[in-house]
Amino acid sequence: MNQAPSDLAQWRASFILELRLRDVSGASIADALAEVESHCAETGEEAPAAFGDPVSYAATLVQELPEDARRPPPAVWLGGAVGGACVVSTGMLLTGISGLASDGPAVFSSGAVLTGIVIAGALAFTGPALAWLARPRLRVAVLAVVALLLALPVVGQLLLPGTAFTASASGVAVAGAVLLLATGAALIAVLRSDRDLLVDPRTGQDRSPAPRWLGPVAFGLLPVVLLVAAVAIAATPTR
Amino acid sequence: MDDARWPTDWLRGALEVCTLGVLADGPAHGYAVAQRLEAADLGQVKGGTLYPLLTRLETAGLLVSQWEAGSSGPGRKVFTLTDDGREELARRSELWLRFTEVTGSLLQSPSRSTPTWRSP
Repeated sequence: MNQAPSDLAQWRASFILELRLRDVSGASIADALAEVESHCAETGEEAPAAFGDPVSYAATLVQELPEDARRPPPAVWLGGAVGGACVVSTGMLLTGISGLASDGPAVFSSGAVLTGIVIAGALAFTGPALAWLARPRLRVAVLAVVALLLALPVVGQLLLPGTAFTASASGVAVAGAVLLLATGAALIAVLRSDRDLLVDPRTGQDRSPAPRWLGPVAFGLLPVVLLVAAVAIAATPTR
Repeated sequence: MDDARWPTDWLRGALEVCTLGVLADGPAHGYAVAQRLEAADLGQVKGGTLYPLLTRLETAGLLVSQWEAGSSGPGRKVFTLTDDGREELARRSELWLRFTEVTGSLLQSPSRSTPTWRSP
């Protein structure tokens, strides 16, 4: 094969992603991928020349697969719900710590409440749309969506700075921490029970493009960043 | 069947039965099937056509497949005709041969001028 490794890697990534999006099991994806590589190794052809566009080939192949090659549709909403719970719990923890640091109640501004609802709702209900946007050619769109979600709290805070309601700072902080821990535990449980690896039928090795730790780290990054911000706020002397 | 040797829709109809016919001679991996089809003058069958077809036949229970370790390169998936596949091959072969007889007799009708074959 004369194909550049990056081109082959991109073809392979697009093929895997398309089959994943079509709920094909990891075993069947690995089998199809091994077929492509084995054929290319035999013929000396490049994957795009022998199999065409990876998305179209995946679409053709998936029509011929048996029913047991499909996995139960992944709970895309579950990922969104975990993300939403992550945002809400971290927001609660942040607000509670801010209140404790200023010796006052936890103050929820209208903007924070509104943007919290919008972001949690967006994450919970747009899972399939985000999965669709995850196609390699649309990565810019994913970045735009993420940037929009991150910009929303700032916009909400600026537009609606008034207090929506107040609550006990310690109660809010504890509730936020408990919800955050529960969300993390639920995430780990889901990831452990959903090990649909891409095991190469020729070598027995897992060929999943993303390492297993990526999901927890990606989900865990947001609360970690916000908690650092909360600690920084708590450490700032109040007037 | 990405060669212009035969019209694509003809090949689409014939490729399944011909693939079953190739595998009736013994188990073979995908590339060997493609080579046999090409050697029989059916043109080059690309991987993007061949493997979905083999998958379809396997899903229908006409073939089974197994990965075997390669002697030098990576392992190869070897396809074997099942008993159902042999029965289906016999049924389709008979139908296909009758079909070609019918179309042949129609095209070679004495009332028509002798057909001149030209490359599609």
